Amino acid sequence: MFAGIVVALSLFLLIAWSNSGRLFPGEALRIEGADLIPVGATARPADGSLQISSIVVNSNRPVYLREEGSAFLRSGPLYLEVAPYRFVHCDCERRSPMTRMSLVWQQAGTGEPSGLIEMPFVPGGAFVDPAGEATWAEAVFEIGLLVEGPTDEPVTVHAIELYPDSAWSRLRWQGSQWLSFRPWSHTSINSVDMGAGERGMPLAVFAVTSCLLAIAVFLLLSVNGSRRNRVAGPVVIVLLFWLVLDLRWTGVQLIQARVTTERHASLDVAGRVDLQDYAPIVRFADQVKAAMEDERSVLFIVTGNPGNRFLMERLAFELLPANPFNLKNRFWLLRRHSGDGNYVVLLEPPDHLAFDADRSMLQWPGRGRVCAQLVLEVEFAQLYRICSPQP
Amino acid sequence: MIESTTILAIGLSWTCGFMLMRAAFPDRGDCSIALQLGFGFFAGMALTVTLIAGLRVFGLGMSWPLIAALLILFAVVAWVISPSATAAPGSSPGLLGWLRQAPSWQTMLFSVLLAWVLARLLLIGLEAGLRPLFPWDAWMHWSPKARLWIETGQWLEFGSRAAWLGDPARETYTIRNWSYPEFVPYVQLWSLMPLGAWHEVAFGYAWVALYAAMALMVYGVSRGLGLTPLAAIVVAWILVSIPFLHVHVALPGYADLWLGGYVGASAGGILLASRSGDRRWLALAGLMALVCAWIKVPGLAWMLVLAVCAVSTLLDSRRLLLLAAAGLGLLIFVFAIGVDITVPGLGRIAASRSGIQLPMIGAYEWTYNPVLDSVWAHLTMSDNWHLLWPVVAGAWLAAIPMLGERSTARTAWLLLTLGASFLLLALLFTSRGAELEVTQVTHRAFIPLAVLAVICLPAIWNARKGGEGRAEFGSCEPIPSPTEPGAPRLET
Repeated sequence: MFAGIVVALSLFLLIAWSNSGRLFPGEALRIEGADLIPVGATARPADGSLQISSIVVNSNRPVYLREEGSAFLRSGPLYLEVAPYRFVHCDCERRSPMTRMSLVWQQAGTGEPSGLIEMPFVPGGAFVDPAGEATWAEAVFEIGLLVEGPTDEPVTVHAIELYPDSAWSRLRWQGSQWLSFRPWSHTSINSVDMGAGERGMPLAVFAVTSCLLAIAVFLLLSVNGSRRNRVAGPVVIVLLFWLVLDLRWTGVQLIQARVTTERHASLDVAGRVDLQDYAPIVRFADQVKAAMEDERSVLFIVTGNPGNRFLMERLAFELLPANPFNLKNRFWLLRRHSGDGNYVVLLEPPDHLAFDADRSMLQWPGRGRVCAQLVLEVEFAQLYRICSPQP
Repeated sequence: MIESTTILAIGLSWTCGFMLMRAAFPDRGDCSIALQLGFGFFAGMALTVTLIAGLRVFGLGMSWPLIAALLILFAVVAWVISPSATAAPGSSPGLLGWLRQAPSWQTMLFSVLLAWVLARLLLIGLEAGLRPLFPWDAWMHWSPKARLWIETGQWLEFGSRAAWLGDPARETYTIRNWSYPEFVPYVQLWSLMPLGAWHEVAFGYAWVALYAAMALMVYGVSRGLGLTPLAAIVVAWILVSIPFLHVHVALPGYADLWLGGYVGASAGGILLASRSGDRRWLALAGLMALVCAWIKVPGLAWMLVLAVCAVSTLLDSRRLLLLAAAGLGLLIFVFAIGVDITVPGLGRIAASRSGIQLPMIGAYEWTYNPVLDSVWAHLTMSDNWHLLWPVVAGAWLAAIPMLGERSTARTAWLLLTLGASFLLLALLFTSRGAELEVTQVTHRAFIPLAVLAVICLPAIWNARKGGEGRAEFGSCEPIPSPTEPGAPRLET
């Protein structure tokens, strides 16, 4: 097994050496954490590092999602030719993987960051490879970190390090990818991706390669061995590689279990729901159900943003046992299908939607109007009760 | 804050199934107990869901005490009629005997792997037992019916959007996939019936029980196929260590793992029938295959795959080849000439060179989807399966030389071949497969094949090392070796 890993790693290094042209990197460019300028964060420098105790609420986040913090740590104006640097290492400590960090940089003449790469949660800090991005070229005028997530999770940034390409850098970056952790997301149920994503060598491929090499070495060394051993040996090697992969998966899941336990274990179910991203949707659904005269009332969902399926579909589920029907943005169907006493929820209502309370008239220019009374309003939605006669 | 009444409900179903299995297979030993417990969960949950569906069909109310009383009644009757099991003289000593006589490194390794499996189940249980309903399709497709039924206490009907709009009384409800099979909503309903209300966490407890039952079943089947306790626990560990299966328990709500569980149970029954010649296993496999069609639409196709494999255990190699040739000829004929018939009560069955339509499965056009690269990358280069697919590919190849002589290895090979063929046919050559890259279904589609494959590995391994036809030391004692005089044998 070890022979297989050693041979595979050697091959990896050889290929990386051949492609990068260097075995070890030249001198790294280091930007000390204490030199970074925090924007939207409560932070203080200490021993060359920057210690962040809290970040401000992100006002750009959709209001139907639970509030989250956001902060920038900026290098300040600089002039940096990035072409010699392929990898960026964030020497930083995050207490929780719920805090997301991304490398951002800005080129001349752009008001917004011209590049952004998420830095996975890795013990020891993440390595990323921005060289694949088109905007990581020529001169960069500012570099920094974007911090997002819970507002009160501490983060310490010791430094941002830029490394030139080399076989050793590639190996460290690859290792960082293999050891990274991503918390559950809505894509997890379709596929788990613990590491490299689109780039780099997937750990499974490395494991299969190493495994085949190890089996080849074993068979070469046991040419004169018994048939039983020549069958059992490869099986044991496969199981050992499986074990290695499972150790890594178990480690990742232990981190996930720690996150889940810390956040959920001490709460009742309502408290746990309140922690979720979709908590404002649940709260709104509860308000709607409380405002309706009959819990099984017919309720039409109309949206100004039909592309936002998450909001529509999750709200429909949370509204049960009401009888929801999703019209998407087909407001004109309301008049034909709704009746007195039915309700309509308008999600992300467009600015030109007009409600005339005196005339009890809800009008979407170009899409019709209905007789309705406003019952409830939150930032991202309104609840109306359909009345009669229709205008 | 564990909902103990939900655990009680699931435990009641499991106990009833265990008792039924014990009555049907009244044997002792770790193998038999694992089989009774593993298959018992599947049998018990299928029985429970059938009873709940019966309440709905007969217009009865949602009565948790009635279902519980019926399950207890079934369990007591099964316990009363269950013959007492005694170990046959000279039979192999089972797990305890193996633990006494096996080398210490093997018993130690067995203990470590057992602890690993238990720890993994605990880890998954922790995740599923704390986190509220999370995955998208769960709250969009699989949970709305259960939530509505439990919150209103009424069997309210779901219909299409057109039916909803056309119903001025608005008595029906509608969701996108309103016609999906209702086994999984019933499982959730059963879990929550003692609570009488929707519970964002407790609905998912059954997924954890399902995973534990799968591990027990795989252990039992491996032992039944002749593996030692150590080898059998390795197979169980392989199953519970697969990351993508782990995810589907940790984030409960999807139906794929249930389909995988029942496909695996049916395949396990077929393999045990193939090895032992005991047709009771074949009957059980048939029941499990029937449930597959009740879980998801692809379950109907899996049921057909399992049925063909079950029939194959009754045939010798020559007759099997003849049957395969005849089946292939019939398929070519059907697709060349074209068939279009309507079966009353069932629906339209049509097949031609342009497409296929089957009742309950739907209509699909034949079209080549260039997604083989994507499927290959999903299965071999992702973090979802560890080394499963390369190992299965190796086992599949290793079984080919044994097809003519080993019935269990042949059955396992056929299960793998037909299962993989069905999936690849659906993904590569139907209009459904064209949606593959946008809907991210690849991994989920392969869950049933993954469970089936893990169960087939011991069959191929044991045949490969010549274990078929003779009882291994410490092997499952109640299954007679086909070479024993008078032992039943399915092959003719």
